[in-house]
Amino acid sequence: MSIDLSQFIATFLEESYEGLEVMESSLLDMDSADEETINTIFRAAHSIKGGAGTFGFNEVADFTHRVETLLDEMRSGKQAVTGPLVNLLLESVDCIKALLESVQGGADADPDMLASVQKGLEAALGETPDESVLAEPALDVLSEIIDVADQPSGWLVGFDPHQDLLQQGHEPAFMFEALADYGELSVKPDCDSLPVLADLNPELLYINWQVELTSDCSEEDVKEIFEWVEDECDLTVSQLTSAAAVGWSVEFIPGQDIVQTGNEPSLMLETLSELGELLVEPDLKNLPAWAELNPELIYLSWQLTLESECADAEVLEIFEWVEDECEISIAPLSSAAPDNVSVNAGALNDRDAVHESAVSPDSTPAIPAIPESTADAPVPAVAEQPAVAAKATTPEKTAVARKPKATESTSIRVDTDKIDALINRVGELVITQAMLGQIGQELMDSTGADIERLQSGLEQLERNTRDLQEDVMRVRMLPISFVFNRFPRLVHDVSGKLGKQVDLVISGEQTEIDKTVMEKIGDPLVHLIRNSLDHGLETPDERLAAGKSETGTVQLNAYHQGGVIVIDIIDDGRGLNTARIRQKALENGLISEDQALTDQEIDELIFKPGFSTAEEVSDLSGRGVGMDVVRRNIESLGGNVSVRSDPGNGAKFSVRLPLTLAILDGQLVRVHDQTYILPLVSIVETFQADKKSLSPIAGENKLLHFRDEYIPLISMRALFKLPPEPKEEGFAGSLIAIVENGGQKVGLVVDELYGQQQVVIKSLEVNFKPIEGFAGATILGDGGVALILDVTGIIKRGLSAEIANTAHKRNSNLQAVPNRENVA
Amino acid sequence: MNSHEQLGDDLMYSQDGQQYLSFLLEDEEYGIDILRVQELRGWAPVTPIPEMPDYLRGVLNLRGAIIPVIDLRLRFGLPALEYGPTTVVIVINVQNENGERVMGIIVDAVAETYTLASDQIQVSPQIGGVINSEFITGLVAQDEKMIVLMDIDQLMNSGELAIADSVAS
Repeated sequence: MSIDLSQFIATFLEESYEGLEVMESSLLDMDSADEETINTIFRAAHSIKGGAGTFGFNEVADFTHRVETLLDEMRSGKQAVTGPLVNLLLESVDCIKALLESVQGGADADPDMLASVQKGLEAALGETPDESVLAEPALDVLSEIIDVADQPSGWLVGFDPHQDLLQQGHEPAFMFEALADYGELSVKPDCDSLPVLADLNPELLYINWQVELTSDCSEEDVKEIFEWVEDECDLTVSQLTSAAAVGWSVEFIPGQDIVQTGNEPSLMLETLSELGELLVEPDLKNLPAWAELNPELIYLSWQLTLESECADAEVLEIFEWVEDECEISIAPLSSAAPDNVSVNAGALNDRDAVHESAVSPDSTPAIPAIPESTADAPVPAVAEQPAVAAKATTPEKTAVARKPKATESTSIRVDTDKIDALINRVGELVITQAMLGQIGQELMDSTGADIERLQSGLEQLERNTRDLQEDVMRVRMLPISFVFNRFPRLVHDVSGKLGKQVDLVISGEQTEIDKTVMEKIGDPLVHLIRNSLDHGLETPDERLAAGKSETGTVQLNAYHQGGVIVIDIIDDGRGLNTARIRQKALENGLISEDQALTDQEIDELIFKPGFSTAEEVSDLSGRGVGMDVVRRNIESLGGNVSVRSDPGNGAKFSVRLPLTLAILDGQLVRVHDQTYILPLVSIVETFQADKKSLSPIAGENKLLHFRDEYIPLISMRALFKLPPEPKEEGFAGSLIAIVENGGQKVGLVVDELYGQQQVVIKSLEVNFKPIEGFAGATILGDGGVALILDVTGIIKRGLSAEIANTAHKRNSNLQAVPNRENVA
Repeated sequence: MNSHEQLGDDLMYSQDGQQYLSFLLEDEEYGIDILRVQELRGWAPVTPIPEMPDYLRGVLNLRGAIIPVIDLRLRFGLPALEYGPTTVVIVINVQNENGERVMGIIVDAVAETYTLASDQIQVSPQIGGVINSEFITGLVAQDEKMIVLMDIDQLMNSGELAIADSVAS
């Protein structure tokens, strides 16, 4: 028999990651910890170690072993639970995660990180590095099974003929000969029932046999040979394994101090040998160098093979006395039932669950697309729950997540490709519906009962199509808690580094957002939160001096507003230092001395490139990259970010994102004879220019004077090398769409503005290649294709440095916000 | 030797050769591997992409996919021809190392399908014609005329049509 090992490993990894999450959230919860919390963490670590050992991931097992030891000491009260120790354990969690990821085929774990945490653990355990005994990987039961599967297996035949078999004219020897045709045969007679000579009846058969046949024949083949004597004998046919013997494989790793507690391993081995034939293989791997050898410690571990029909309980009984001082894993020698019992400190662990779930044919360990931690978890009632330091209801949630897998039937795992195909199909349907709708409009003039029926049918179709589209879009949506879950840990770590006390309060984590958007929004949010911790919140002393509570609060709120999702990051810190920002902006030449700006406008300057007010460069922030990158990343998702500050009382950053990247609200415009789509999100205003507001520069290009600001104009016709519009001089009377990107405003000159509509974004890359200036294409109601303009690319292509500079100069003279000079 | 089959028959490679679809450009006949051909469409206006070479006529909507359309005449520097009822867009599947792309090529008309054994195909001499010889895999004499066999993958991944390396399809 063969077993798909990868399935086991997948399950092991999945459970390990879950375990790590539990460890992390419980560790963050240590302040209010009771004994059960530490036990929970210990159990999780233990399961990971055991599993890792089983699969031969020695590095993981060794590392986790130390963590487990430390946890054990904390559990037993040997070690006090201190802040540094908790941090060390949190770092260990990261290390284990990294190790597991490298097992999974990811990048190798950072050796420096491992080494430093390893050192920390050793120091905490009071070990010197060389003396430590690492955990032995448990017996690799599975690989043994795999070996078995690869070896020629065979059949163990117990042939116990009735005494009168020979009188019936049967001859056992012939049967054995026939068996020998199938493969290698070894026949062991059992003469126990042979009577003394005086009682022997030569016509009767007193012998029975144990026959081992090494062959790949089927059980049927074997039974066929004994078919004739079926009723005259007792026949047992069982599968032969490479470890033909029945028994137990025991791995015995005593704790180093087992001898000091008055236990004697050799005695146990002796007792064990009374149960059956015992093969002892000592493992000297952990024997330290001679100089470091402590004669009172035991460095050996043993691999024992016991051939015996005893029950596993009998084996475990022998080690009962030292249960807490050693690690025992016991596995059957036969491969028929790979149920691996592992006993350690009485904690039977999840590993059995792993086995069961993997071995039982009717269970498929699949990671649900939407774990029930979010699907079924009760929405935490934030109102009832006063904020707890750096705690975001994750413990409860993971507890739910670890419910029995029975609840998983409510979700299935679907490949995103399938969903995307579905979205595309629905997009097609929307277009078809729009097409029919147009025809319906054209038929409005005609009358008749049929037309009316058609009209109402079309209206219904429209409603259904819209609903269907929304439903399908929702399939790709996941609760934003997937992103938020990492923040409690982040806040804990960062605030610890900064010596600040912080409460993180999360609300609205059930708000759903498209998976792709979610994958990309994590980093910008991390940056914003770090910024709040670093620049926003004060140290406890400062806070007290300012008459606030020592502990600062960072709120993370997510909610829907119209067709967007809004994420607010609110802190109750010192707010933005508007004067300093202005100072900095002057130094960097972002604004001029006599420019009149509102505080709000000045605050927004922090999103400009190269802007940082940090006095010194910390490893958290202050390098002057950051806020501009945050803004750029958010804008690339079709969203925007803004800041409101209340000096002395805190600041609020608001990130607005589209719910999905598949649909876009567009403004349809005409250029020459083509329709293009401008994303509505980037349009500031559209209007018709009059002559007064235009200011000529040499050549064709113009600047537009718009709200105290000179804005460069880009003629779309010129940009696309199309014949110019037969208009009166310049752009007077032209239609202009003011668009903004990354703080840069430009006016796009178009021929006509059509309506606004939602369009389904289609990629140009699938069958062609990306083209600068275009974000993609869409299909209009008439089935034709319209290109979607990408404002960033248009500005890059269309704005010459000369125009930008002229605008900049004039703006400086105007004391208006200048344009950046980073134009290609 | 000339086995003549209708397009849409069982298009299997067989022992005795490979099937080609031939089309006309100017007065010449070209053949491409028929397994690359997805469908034939009549000409309908496409959406132009600004600032692209003239032979890239634009993109069209093929059942929801946006596919680029190339005028082969213009690609090979032949004079443009008014698109008419016989103008055909051959929708082809182009393979490259990044996977598969669907594209359309505009030709004067579709001619025939041929089954050609490899021994019928002559290695092309270095001809100085409109078509760069790197796109030509061989020549075949059929019914008194010469058919030029073209490597459509090579052609469609050349020049402006090539995908930038940074883009994974």
